Amino acid sequence: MMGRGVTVRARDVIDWPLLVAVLLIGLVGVVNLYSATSVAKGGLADLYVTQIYWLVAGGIAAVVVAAIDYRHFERLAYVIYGGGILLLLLVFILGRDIHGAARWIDIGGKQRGFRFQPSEFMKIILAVSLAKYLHDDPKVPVGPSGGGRTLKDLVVPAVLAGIPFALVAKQPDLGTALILAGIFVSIMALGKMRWQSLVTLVVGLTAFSWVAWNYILHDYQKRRVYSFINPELDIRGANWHSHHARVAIGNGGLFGTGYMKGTQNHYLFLPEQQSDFPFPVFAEDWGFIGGLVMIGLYSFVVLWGLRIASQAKDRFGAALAVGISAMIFWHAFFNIGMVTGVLPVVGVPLPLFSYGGSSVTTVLIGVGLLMNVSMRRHTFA
Amino acid sequence: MSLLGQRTDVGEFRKRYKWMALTVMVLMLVLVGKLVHLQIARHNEFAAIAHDNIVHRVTLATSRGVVRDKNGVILAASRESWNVYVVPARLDLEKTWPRLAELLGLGPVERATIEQRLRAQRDADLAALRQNPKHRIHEAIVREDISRDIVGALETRKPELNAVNWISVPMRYYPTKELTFHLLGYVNEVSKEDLDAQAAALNGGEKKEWGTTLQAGDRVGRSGIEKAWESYLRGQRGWKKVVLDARGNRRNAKEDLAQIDAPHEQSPIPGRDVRLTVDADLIASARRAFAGQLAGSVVVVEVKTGRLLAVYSKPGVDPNDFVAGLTPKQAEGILANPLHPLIDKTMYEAYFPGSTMKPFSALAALQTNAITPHTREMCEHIYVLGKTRFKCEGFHGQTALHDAIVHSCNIFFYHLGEKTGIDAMAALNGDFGFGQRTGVGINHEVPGLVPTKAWYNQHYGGQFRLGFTLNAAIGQGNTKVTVLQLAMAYAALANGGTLYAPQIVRSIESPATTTDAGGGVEIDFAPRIRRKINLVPENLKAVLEGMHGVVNEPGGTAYKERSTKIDVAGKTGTAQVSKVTQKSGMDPRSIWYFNRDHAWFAGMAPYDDPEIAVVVLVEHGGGGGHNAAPIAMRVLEDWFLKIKPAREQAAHPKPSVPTSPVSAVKP
Repeated sequence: MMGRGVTVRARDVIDWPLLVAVLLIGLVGVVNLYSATSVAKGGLADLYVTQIYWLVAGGIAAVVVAAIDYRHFERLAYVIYGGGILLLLLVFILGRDIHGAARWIDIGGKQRGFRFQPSEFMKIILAVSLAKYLHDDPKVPVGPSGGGRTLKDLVVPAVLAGIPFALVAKQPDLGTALILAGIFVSIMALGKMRWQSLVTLVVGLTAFSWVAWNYILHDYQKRRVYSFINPELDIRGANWHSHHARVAIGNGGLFGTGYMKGTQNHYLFLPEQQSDFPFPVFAEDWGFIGGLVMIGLYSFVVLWGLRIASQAKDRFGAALAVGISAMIFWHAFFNIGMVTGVLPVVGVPLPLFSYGGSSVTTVLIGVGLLMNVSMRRHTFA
Repeated sequence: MSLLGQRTDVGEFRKRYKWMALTVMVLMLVLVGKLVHLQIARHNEFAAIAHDNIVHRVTLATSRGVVRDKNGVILAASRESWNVYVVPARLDLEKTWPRLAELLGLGPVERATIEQRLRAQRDADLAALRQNPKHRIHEAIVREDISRDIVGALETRKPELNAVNWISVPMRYYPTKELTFHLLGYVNEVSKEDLDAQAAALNGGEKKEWGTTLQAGDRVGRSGIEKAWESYLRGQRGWKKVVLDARGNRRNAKEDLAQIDAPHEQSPIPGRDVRLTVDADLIASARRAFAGQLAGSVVVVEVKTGRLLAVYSKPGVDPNDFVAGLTPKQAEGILANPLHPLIDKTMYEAYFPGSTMKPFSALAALQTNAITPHTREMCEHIYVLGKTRFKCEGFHGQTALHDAIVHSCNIFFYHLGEKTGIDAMAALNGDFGFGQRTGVGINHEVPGLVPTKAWYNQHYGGQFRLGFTLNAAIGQGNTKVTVLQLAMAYAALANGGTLYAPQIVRSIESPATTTDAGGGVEIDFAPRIRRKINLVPENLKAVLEGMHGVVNEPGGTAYKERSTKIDVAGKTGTAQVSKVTQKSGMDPRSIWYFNRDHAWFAGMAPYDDPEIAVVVLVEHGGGGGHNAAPIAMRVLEDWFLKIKPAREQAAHPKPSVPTSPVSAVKP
């Protein structure tokens, strides 16, 4: 498979637009990280260097992943899934021992590395597994008038997604759990459902949430939900974070304050400026123009990913490309939506923009998979 | 699976990509729309908030004006002191606070108390921030007036002390301490009630002007000159913009300061200096003369201007204690003191004037022709009126006006009062300013009382009796005067009938920049005449001759206490007090004291051409001749023999030597 043909035609098969867009995001991300952490003293100030290492490491991983024909991943999908769940359980247990209650106090810097690693990779593993499920789904409707899936047909993929969702949510890491849910919904949206089942599902879920919230949950449980949605509420007030993020963005105006001249970042009003809040730093430095460029770049990558999906030669490739695109999209949407005040504060990194080894690596592996699917759209088995 | 089959399978997805792409675009456009909203539509608003987040105004303290006596001796001034503040919402209570507490040398109890207060404020601030991100957090004071050594230690450890600030603030001090307590008053920190009252007066809205409104931490005059002349003394605060980061640290680098918009600062306007008419040395002389007495007051006034040369009320309190804030123990001690140290006994308390009123009764009688200087009355010690027996101090026999004043014969004055009538006496007393506030302009002044027939009819159920008139003639009954009123009235006797308003502030001066001497005079206050009293000169002469006899003729009530060096005229007084009983709750061991009469002496000197009038009241001093007159004589001798010559000598050969404050107040 990886023989002479690939080597010879590498330049032709590489998806250059995707590569350039991703490289641009990574590059701008490093430049922005330098601005974001320039205000910090000590270890934080060198984060942009570390980020470059992670980008290189992630890039190598992406090349490796892109080089292996994705049909090997299809075959091994459930094995990988099992491994991912095991790892999640293992680190979940270890993480509990190591971090325990301390995570509630240590708001200064989340120790993402070790604890978050399996949940980050679980996003890709989930995309692979759901793609595999759709690939093998026996209930493929035949012809345009085919019946579509019923609720019963959703049970297996729901369980596939539900297990990692529950484990991650219990950490608790609502951000990652939401991304998993987003990947699940996005991939399953590919398949046709009976419209009656869809309506039943939506109405049933809505009604259940309403009844549960108003009649079943006690106040203290609701408070737990609130603090689960926003763990930092109890400590410094979520308002404070999002307020200052909006002030920084608004302060940027049309053209921005200029690189490294954003005052709100410079005078430490942006918390977590390297992980959850790099976008306000960028939007303050570069203004609306900069923000527009970034949203444009993310939109391009996601839409390009959908294009790759649409050109994939098989169901697994198509579903996988959708899953990866969805992962990138929901990250970008949740993060920017959170800092602009469209969404409540949920800690979700901005792909390739936020500092973080596991996040960068995961996104780049995802990009490698997209590349993989893209490169093999014309090859035949 | 066959190749063809796979392609067909992919077909199931085909319709969905467009919808997905559309969803992505719509949601991304929502974000773009939000960016338009934040960065374009609301940019100005957020830019302002961003600016306010980092650029803060700090107050530039103004300096309160200096108060000096007529010769330039400093009575109230400000010295540098350092206060330590923290920003509780930003303070690291686990690391920074223990370090700070150690540097400040706080004891364990004090440290725990302050820490509790800081914790409470931090929690309150953080809670308020959660509700409203624009909530302004405040500093809290930790320690006032720390030593220079501690300031140095703090400067050295500045990097470790996040959210800790030490600020130089001027601290008021009074070098003459309790000597001028009632005259100068004191300043202390503005209270929450003051600020609330101010906010209410400003229609609830906080005024943007920084200069004239009070802020927490400001110090305001609470009594005396400090209160009455507050508007001149206070000055106007200025401000300066500074850059603070989110942790509350001051940023001073060049690029930080570039964030500050114009205007960068407004310089404070220093308060005006106030020069008084009093002579601190003469007040100190009054204190020395009062050494043997517990309580009372002295007023010395220039008779030709109405300017006060000395006002002294005993006992006083050290106003510096008020500036620092009284400890509960100190406050309790002051309030429990039966001698009422807070009361200005020159004007806030009205007393029976006793025989010091007799010159005015005599004048009233002469002016209305009820008697002549030669009218004689028989004194047999007792004057019977109905069932009441009015007594005299002695058996004076056939007595005319002169001897009646010299010996202070009550019987003569009973007859005089009966002939003159209460309303005629009250009218003349009113001319001399009794029963009215003098308008001195500081502290609370009481008007005293000059009773008339109408007053008695009103207050005694229409039962006016002759006895009231007799009592009024000798300054008892219901007549009440303040020491200041009596001094102004005696000054009017001495100057031929001109009643001045007492003047305590001589001038307003611009603040000194380099020397202690004060800047130029901005406002010079001229003497203020209240009225010229129409007196027949012979009548006045007869009374003054009597008063001269009081001091200078053997048998005069102040003869034994006369000065051998100064020619003084005056009148003694012994005023009865309301008797204190066991029931009043007073310490039984001190009741004898509080039942003793008040001792008065009121006089003028030199007799030929009077320059000053002096009034001395010794509370519960007993007889006026023995107890009050010596004090007055001593003050007059100090003035004419020591202080006044020294001033004249200083003024002529070496005009520029100011008296140092230390020498001026040395007891």
